[in-house]
Amino acid sequence: MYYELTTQPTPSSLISACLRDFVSRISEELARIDKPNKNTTRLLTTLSLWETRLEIAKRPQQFDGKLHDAPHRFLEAVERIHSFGPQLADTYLKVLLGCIDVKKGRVMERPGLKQAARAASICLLRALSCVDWVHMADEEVFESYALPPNANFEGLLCHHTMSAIHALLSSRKGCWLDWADYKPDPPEYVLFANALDGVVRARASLVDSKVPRWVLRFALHSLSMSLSQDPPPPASVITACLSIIGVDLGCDILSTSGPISERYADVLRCVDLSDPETVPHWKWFQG
Amino acid sequence: MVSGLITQKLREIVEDAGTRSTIIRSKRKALTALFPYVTLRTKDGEHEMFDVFLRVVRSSERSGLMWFYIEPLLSVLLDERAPVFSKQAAIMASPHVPWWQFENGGHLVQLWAGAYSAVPYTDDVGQSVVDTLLQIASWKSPAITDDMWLWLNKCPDLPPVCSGRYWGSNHAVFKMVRALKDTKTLTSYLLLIWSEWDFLMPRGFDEMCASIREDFSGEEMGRHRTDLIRRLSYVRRELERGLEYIQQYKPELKEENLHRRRDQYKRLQDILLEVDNETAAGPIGESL
Repeated sequence: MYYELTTQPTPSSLISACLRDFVSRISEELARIDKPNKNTTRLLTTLSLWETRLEIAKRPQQFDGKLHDAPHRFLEAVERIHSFGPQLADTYLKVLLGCIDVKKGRVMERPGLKQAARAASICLLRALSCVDWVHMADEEVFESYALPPNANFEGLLCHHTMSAIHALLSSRKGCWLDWADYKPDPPEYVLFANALDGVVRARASLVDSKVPRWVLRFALHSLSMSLSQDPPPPASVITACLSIIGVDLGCDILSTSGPISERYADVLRCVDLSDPETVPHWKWFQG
Repeated sequence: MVSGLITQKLREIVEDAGTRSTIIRSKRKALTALFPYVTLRTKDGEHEMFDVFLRVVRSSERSGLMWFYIEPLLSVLLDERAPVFSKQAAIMASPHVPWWQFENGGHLVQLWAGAYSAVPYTDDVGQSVVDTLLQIASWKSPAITDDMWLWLNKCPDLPPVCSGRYWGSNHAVFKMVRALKDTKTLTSYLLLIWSEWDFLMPRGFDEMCASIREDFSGEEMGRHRTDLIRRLSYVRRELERGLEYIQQYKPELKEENLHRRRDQYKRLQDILLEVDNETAAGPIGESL
């Protein structure tokens, strides 16, 4: 379900409102935890700072009062954030670590924080595209990442996103991610694909800039879905997958980050626009 | 825009003969991931990207794609309910598919066999079907039925690099075609298999020599002998163009291989002319 806007809000107010909403929800859920762990305390501290920062960023325009579906709303808001800085990656990682527990390598969401973990993980993945991959040692997020190499994410609401983050941040090489059952809702799918595309572009300047094979298999899985009997992925997912492939083939993809409608131009021709499932995500924002 | 850049890159890869193999090998994961998209593009009749993609795959022989990952998609593309464009794309790609490596290869061949007749015939489709048919036959797939061999009678031009033609000269394939007891189809088979670009497998060659005497003697076979002798004359002429000419598509070929090839085709033509001379109608070879 997607929200309707009576007036066109500015992106910053939309983002600000959604983030504040998200933050307050997580804070509420965290406050209900009986025995907070070290990470939960860190998370609460981070969130209060974060909330303050968001208050400062608040714009006069008020967001319409019809918001009610927090996770989707949040994901859609994140889609519009263009100013992800590397420091946010560390922040999101702290949020994420506060939402999960690890027992004998098995990772679980803390009670009541499934959606928060899901949103934080997708935000973290997105923020990783702003990290300086060439100077990884200088980036806090790599230092803060504390999950064991053999971490098992099965059963998590966000297990594909977590697995992707783990593959990127942990030192483990040659990991296997199974995409066969990956069929998320369109907003999450778009965000995930764009985040992966962003990370691939960010890593393109590395000396050994090969795109990880699990990312290419994600592209194969998503593009294959556009030919199967299942609902096809949104057009922007197809664009992101093409971009990922293009980077690996050595195309000058980095120069194509212009207007999003241009990037879609060649994808739209082969997507059935009468099917709402395949309509590019940006159309939803255009109302 | 992005697909335009990718198409351009594919074109650059295929046109650079010097580095082509190395690049394709190192980019095969990306090429594999691209396959569903280039297929999707053909939905609205846009074949440019697909055609360039196939040129890349063709020029890489078997190292171009990681077909293991595409196996589930091939089932979808060849499914009975699949639209024609997807069947057509799978048929066009089929000569490059290592069918025998698939766990589910038998089922896929059955789907392939049901799909190709649903695709409108073009020279390219005919070429792909025959190329694939000969390959599949070489590992004795039970999914091959007699009526499939009728496609040989369409006599599509097979490309210089063609796995089907090489594997199709296998004695097992030759026996299958011969067992049909249909001279027209047998002639078509030989016209397709005999080529300056490929050596004939030894046991298959021996079977062919025997078959010429047993299946193509007699006056009523004169027309078939004429076609076969013409074909052999053409192949031998092409082989006389020398090593450099053949090496443009078969760079690994050596002079001694070329001699063996010349000997094979000379031997076949000699036998055909002998059979022809033994008939009452007189020698065809003299008029050629």
